[in-house]
Amino acid sequence: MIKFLQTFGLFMVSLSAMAQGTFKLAPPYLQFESAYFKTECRVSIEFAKDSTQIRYTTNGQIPTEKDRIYTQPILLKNKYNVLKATVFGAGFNPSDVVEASFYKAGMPIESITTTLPHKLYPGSGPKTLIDRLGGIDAFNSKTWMGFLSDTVNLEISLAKSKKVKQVLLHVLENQAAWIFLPQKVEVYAAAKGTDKWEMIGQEIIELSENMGKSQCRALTLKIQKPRKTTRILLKVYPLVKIPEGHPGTDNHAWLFIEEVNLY
Amino acid sequence: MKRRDFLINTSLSLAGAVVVPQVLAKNDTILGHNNKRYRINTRWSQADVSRFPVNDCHEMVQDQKGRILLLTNETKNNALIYDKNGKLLDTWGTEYPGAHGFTLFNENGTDVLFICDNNRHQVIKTTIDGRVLMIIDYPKETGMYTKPEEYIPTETAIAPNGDIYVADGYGKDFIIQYDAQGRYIRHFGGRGEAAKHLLNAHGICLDLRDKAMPSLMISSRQQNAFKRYDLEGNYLETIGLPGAWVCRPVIKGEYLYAAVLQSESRQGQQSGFVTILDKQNKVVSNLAGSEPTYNGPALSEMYQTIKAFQYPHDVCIDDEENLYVAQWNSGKTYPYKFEPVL
Repeated sequence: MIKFLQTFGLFMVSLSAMAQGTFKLAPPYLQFESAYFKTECRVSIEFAKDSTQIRYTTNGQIPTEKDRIYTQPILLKNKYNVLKATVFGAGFNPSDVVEASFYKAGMPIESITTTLPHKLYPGSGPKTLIDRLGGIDAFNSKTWMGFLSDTVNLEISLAKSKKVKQVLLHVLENQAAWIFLPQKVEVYAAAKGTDKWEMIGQEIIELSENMGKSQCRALTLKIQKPRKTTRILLKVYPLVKIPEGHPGTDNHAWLFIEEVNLY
Repeated sequence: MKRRDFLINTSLSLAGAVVVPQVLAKNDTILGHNNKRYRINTRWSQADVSRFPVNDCHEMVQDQKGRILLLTNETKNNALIYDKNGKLLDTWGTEYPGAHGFTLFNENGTDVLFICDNNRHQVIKTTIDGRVLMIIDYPKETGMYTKPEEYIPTETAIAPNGDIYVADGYGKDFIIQYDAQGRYIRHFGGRGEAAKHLLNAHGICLDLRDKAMPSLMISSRQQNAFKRYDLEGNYLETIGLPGAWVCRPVIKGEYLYAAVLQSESRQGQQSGFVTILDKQNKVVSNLAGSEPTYNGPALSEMYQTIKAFQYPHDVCIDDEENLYVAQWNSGKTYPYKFEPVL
C-alpha cells in the first residue's frame, strides 16, 4: 500500500493576488492509501508549519477561513467524495487548493478481461482495474494500464445478476504526455451463457481543453436501458489522431485506465 | 509660506509611504527552524538585467577577498562577481554553455575554480578571474565510457592534497578521482541496487568536520539522500533525507547546507526549499520547508511549505554566516540572500 505522500491534481485556484513581498503557502499534503475504497476511506492532511491552519471542505466548495479546521484524519463514506483543502497562516497568502476525489466500490465484480495493454504499461494485469488501488496521477504508477489501440474492450463478469444503472470509468488525462480522454464509450450487456451483446448505454466525450496538468478523471457513464445482467462489456474508443493545437498532433493518443466501478 | 511647507511635507511623507512598505516586505518573512532562521531578501542582486542577464543560476562560492561568485549557463557572462551587498563588481566567461558545477579551492594561498560543464562534457580549472589552467576530458581511463556524451559532470570536490573528485551526476553517476595534475586514480559509485551505488550523483564535497576521519559527502538526489565515502571511495553510510531532492552538500563550520531542488511528492511543481543538517547529520532547519521531525532515528518526509523558492540549486554561506541561494529554471531570477536571525 502507498504510505508516502500522494501526488495528484493540484488545482491552482489563486485565492488572492500575491502582494509584493508576501509569499504564498504551499498547498497541504494529502495522505491516503487509495482513492477507491470498500466501506470507508481515511485521509490525513499534513502541513508541518507552525501558526498555520488547514481548512477543508467535502461539499465541493473552495475552502475559506470559515470552513472546518483539520485536526484529525477524515473518514469518507459516500459513494463519491471530493475533498478540498487549503492552508491559511498570518503573514502569508493562503495556499492553492489541493483536491482529491474518493470512490466507494460498486457492485462486486467477479472478474475482468481486457484488450492487451501496451507492453510498457501492463499495470498488474487486468485485475488492476478492479483492485481498488490508485488515485495518483502519475502514469508510470503500477495502478494504471496504458493502451495504444483503436478500441479497448473491458469485459466484466458479476457474481450475481444485477441491474447496472451507472458505470464509472477512471482514466488519466495528461495531454503533455499524449494521454487523452477517450472519445466514446459504449456499454453492452449479455444474458448469461450467450454472446449476444445488447447496447445499453453510450457516452460521447468531448475533447478537453485541459492541456496543462496531469489529472485523474472519473467518466460517469449513464445507462439508458438498465437491465439485469451478469456480463457487461465496455467498448472504449481512444482518440485515434490527436487534433491540431494539442501536444502530439496527428499521433495516436494513449488511453490510461485505473479502475472501473459499476453501480 | 505655510502652504508651501505643507506641500513639501506631504510629498516627503508620500515618498516615505512608498519606500517603507518595500523595506518592511523585504524584512518581513523569516524562514527556517531552531537556531537556523533567516530573513529573506529577494532583491539582493543589483545587477542590471539588460546588461548582465542570467539563465539557470547553478552555483555560488565566496572567494578569499569576500566576494560572492555566481555561475550561470548564460554565455553573455558565465561568472558574475558580487560584493556581499549585491553590487555587481565584475563578470567573465562566455565559453561555458553548460556551466553547472562551481567549486573554489585554496591552492597554496591562491583561489582557483573548477567548473563542470554539462554541454562540453569537461571539467575546467581556472584562475579566480577565469583564465583556463587545466581541462579534464571525459574519463575513458575508467573503461566505463566510450564517448564524451556519456559523461555529464555536475560537481567537483578538491581534497586537501589537491586530489580532484568529479561527480558525473547527469551521466553514469560515477565519482572519478584524479590527482592535482588531472591524472586518473580511481572511480567508484555508479548505478546499481547496492547502498554504495548512486542515482543522480549531483553534488560532492569534502567533509572535514571530523578531523580524525575526513570523508566525502555525495548527493544521491533521486534517492533523496547523501552518501558518505572515505577518500578512497569506500562506502560508509547513507543519510536519508526523505522527500528532499538534495543538490550539492555545502559544509560551513559544523553545519551542512543544501538546496533542495524539489519535494519528492510535488515533482515538477516548483516545490524546492533549503535544508540544514547539524554535525550529527540531523536536519535542524528547512527554509521554506516542513519542520523537521524525527520518530526515533527516522526523519519524517520533508516537503515545501512556503512558495519562497521555485527550484533552488545551490547555497553559499559567507564569512558572516549569510546564505545566498541560486535557482535553476526559475524565471532567470538572480540569487536571494538570507541574513541570520539571532
